[in-house]
Amino acid sequence: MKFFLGLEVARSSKGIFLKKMKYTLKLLDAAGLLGCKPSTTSMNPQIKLHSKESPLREDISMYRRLIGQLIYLTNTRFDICFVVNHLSQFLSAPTMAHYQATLRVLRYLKANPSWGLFFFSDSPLQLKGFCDSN
Amino acid sequence: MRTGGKPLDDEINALVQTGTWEFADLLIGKQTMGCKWVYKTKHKADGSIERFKATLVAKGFTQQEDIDFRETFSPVAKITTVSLLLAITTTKIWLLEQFDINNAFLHGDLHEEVYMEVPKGVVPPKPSQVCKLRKSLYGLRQASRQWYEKLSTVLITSGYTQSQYDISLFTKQSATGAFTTILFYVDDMILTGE
Repeated sequence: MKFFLGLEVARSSKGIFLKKMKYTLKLLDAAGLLGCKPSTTSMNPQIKLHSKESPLREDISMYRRLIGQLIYLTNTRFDICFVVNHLSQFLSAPTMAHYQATLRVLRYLKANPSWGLFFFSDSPLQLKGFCDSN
Repeated sequence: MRTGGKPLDDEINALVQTGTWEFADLLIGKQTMGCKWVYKTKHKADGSIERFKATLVAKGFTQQEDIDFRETFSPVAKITTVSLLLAITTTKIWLLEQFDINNAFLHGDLHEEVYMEVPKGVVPPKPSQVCKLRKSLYGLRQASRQWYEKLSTVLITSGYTQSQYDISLFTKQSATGAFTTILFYVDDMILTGE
């Protein structure tokens, strides 16, 4: 098995590796960001996103499409889970600031498009639960 | 992979072999649905041309609910099931194979009475006749549902159990102790097992 639903699968005796590199590069290409400067972080900690201020983007569907694609990427890229979840809260009325933050995620992806998940074959098949007091 | 034959002839042969339609006179009060040929170029992973393909599609947008189709929903595998299956496969050191099914939608049986105009390149025995569809065709509103129905019926009759938690997952515990699972995403499937 090599390619399933955009998922690239590589297998060895040590385990199985899942990545969506092709999908990521296609996404970057479609956004015209293949040649962009990579970013080492997915978010700017100084910027607080909210639904007021800065004008509404005219091309809302572009924003929605990008977020949709990023959500699919979170299956193998847990590192962008938080930011994508955060950005997806503004789908109904995205502003320029939201769009800029999305581009930042894309530039972050550009830095390491081949990142993915590795399942170790010697890991115990045991379900673990975690909880937080709040 | 077929590269030799003409794509259009190949496709017509496939349609005739699976018994997609029978020729019939159009009953009064019934209407025919349009159809057209769509030509596609299939690429390999490196971008080079693999083959050319012709697909007959029905103009399903003219179909009317309750007359030409009823239910259209068809389930697909959840991504968590895919990940979980791969994780289990790794730890249990199972075999892992992937398949895709050619002309998947053409396998589905059609229960509704749907008439379609005769596609270009096909000659009916009598000029007044039209195609009465027996099998599902790309473009029909119920195409993916009929395919899923066919698939699950075949799997269940061959001893597979449908999972309660993801209905695209089928498992089988054979008498010899071997365990197999099949996961479907429309016409793509993952097969794992001991």
